[in-house]
Amino acid sequence: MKVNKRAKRDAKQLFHLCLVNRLLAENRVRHVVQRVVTAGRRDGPAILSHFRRLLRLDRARHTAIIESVTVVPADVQAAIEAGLMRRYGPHVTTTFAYRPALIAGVRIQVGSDVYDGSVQARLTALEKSF
Amino acid sequence: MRPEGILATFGVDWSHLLAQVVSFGIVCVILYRFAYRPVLTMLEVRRQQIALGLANAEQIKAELARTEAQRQDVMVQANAQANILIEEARAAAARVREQQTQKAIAAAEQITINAREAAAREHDRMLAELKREVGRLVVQATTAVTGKILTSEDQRRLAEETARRVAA
Amino acid sequence: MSNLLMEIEAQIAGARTAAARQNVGSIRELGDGVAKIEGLTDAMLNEMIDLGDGVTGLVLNLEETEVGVIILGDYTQLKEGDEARTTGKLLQVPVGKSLLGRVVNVLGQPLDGKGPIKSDISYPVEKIAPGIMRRRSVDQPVQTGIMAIDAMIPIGRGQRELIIGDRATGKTTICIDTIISQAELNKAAEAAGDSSYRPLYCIYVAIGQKQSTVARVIAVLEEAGAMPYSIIVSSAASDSAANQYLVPFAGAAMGEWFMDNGMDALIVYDDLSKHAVAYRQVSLVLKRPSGREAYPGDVFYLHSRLLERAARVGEKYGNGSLTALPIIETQAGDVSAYVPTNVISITDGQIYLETDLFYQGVRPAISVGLSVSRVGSAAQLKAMKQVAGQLKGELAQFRELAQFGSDLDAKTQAQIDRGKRIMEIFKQTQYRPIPVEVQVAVIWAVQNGYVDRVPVPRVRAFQSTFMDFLVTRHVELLATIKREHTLSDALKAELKTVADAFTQTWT
Repeated sequence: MKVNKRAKRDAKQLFHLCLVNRLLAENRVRHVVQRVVTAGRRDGPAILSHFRRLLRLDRARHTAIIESVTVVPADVQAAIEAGLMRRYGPHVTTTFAYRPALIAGVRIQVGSDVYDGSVQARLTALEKSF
Repeated sequence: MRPEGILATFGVDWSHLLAQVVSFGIVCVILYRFAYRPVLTMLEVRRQQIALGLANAEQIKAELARTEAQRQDVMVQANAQANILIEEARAAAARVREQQTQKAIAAAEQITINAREAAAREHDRMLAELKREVGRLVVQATTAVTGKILTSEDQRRLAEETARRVAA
Repeated sequence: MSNLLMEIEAQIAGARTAAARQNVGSIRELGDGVAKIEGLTDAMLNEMIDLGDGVTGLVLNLEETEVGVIILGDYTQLKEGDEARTTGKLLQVPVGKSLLGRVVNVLGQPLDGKGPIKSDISYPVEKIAPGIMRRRSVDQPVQTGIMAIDAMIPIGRGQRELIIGDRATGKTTICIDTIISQAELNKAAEAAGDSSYRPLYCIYVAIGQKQSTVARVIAVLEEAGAMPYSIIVSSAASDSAANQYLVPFAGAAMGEWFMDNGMDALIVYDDLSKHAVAYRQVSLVLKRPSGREAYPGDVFYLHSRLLERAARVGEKYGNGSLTALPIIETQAGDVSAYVPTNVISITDGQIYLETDLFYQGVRPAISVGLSVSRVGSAAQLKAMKQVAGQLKGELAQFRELAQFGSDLDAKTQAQIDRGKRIMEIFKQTQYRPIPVEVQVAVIWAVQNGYVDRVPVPRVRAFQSTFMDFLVTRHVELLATIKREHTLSDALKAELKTVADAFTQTWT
């Protein structure tokens, strides 16, 4: 849907209202959504869609997706989590996923940052260099 | 004999003689004034004209000789100039011919160079393509094989490496 | 073969180290050659983005939640959700002498099918122009081979001279003539082994031109043997607006390499009107606010930063020069439109071409009254200055007097006659540049009355025969003028003898 500038601005303001100590507070989010729905304004859906987008982006920034082929040993897991916490702050949630296409190694993605140590990435880079 | 006798024998009569001399004298004078003088002046004039004409003729002859000499001169000069022009034209033609030859040689060389370059390019292109194909095959083989070869020890090592990079 | 294997092995060995941290994003919206990408939090302005499949993009808009990227390449293969990653590099093009004789596109990729460009140096496409202290004043001439320009509106190395006129008035032809003239001078200097002559390399940037036009230009240059000294950078009308927007900057980068390495270069931007239109399209698609005639607000900065990169730099800073000949196409002779006035105020002079003159048969259709070169005679050969110094004034007077028909005193009539003959002398066939020493001789002959007795319709025949006469039979005289750069009294006397000899045989 087309979200005009005013709706975007309003959604941004609402998003900033939901932040407590630079973190998203879930109860506030629910409250905001309810209020916007009940207010019944014409650009309500537009505001909400942009709001949802901002939420999604924020969540992506604070989620680390760790993909691997085999189960990562526990101590390595802990090391990864410690590193992530040091770099991105204590409120990063880690999820582990299984991706066989990686062949071997681990791919970590936090928001837009990607740490790709998998064999597949190296092979793709090699193929591109030819 | 006495002089009067001689004169009478010959029929010379002084009065007649005198009269005749006088009338002869008158005739002479008249002739002189009205005939001789104009005729003589006319002759004089004609003589002068002839002299002038002769002098002119002399001049004309001299003039002619001079003109002839000039004509010869001009002809010689024209000949000389014509020769120079011909020489210059020849030199220019030689230069143009030289230029054209050089151009033809350069064009022929260019064709050879182009052909050689085209062959070299083709060779390079084939090598590059070959390299690409070999690379792709290597990657394909590695992809197919690596998963089966790697042990859990290797997996662990790789995971640790990434963890290190995150922490760093 | 073993070379090949070693190369492959080396590349494989190089792939052992894994990539460091990368920054990625995904395409959220795609259209009109512009992609809006979500993520890419580390993207910087003008950074190159790798969109996969060999397609690159350039970051132009940095917004709060996304990045606006213009796509350089085939955008038909991309789709929403594709991954894009930053490269950490600014857009760069290969530069160097290996580009001479080639036809390339905006990224430096070859278009002429003669194999890849081998160059290990790359220059960034966007670069800040040389500062004030790095510059040097312009005093070396660019011999365009067009008499009207070299005599009255001389161009120097390091100058920016705008060529402005309506469509089909001969703007491109002037630039092609200049390129051919430079190639001939370069070749002559090489053949004579003259190391004091600085060759001038030419770059022709085709912005939004028809491909048939570019092909014709290439054919003309190849026929004249000018390709080995020229680079053609082309972004044709069928290319995306992003490519057309960037191609003059790529050409400028190639020219800057010559400038920074002690060589002289000449760059032709054909034409900047289409460049402004392409930039307008890119800006509008990126939703940037528009101004007068729907051009974005920074269209002046677009051209000023491009043209300021053409300069003559001092000895410590490269000792080279880059001369720019931008072309602007006006509509119906309107030089007071937005983009033409912008570019006129940026350049060091303009050559104004008029359609009226063109159809009257005056070709090149240069309007001497409205054209100006702000560098002027500082960039002219002394010999040319000696013979042509009065010409502009004489032609101005001629134009004033030409409106009077009859009943004129002898002096005015003589001025009008001389003016008509000078106009005839300045007509020139296209693609036939005239060397400067021949120009000097011809103008000297005109200024000394050798053409006054020739009827006006026969003046051109007189001129061409005279030039042939000089070139074939008095090569040493021309060589002396070229060597000494000035007309000494002895040279003038020799010119007099030659002119006398010619007029005698002329029928």
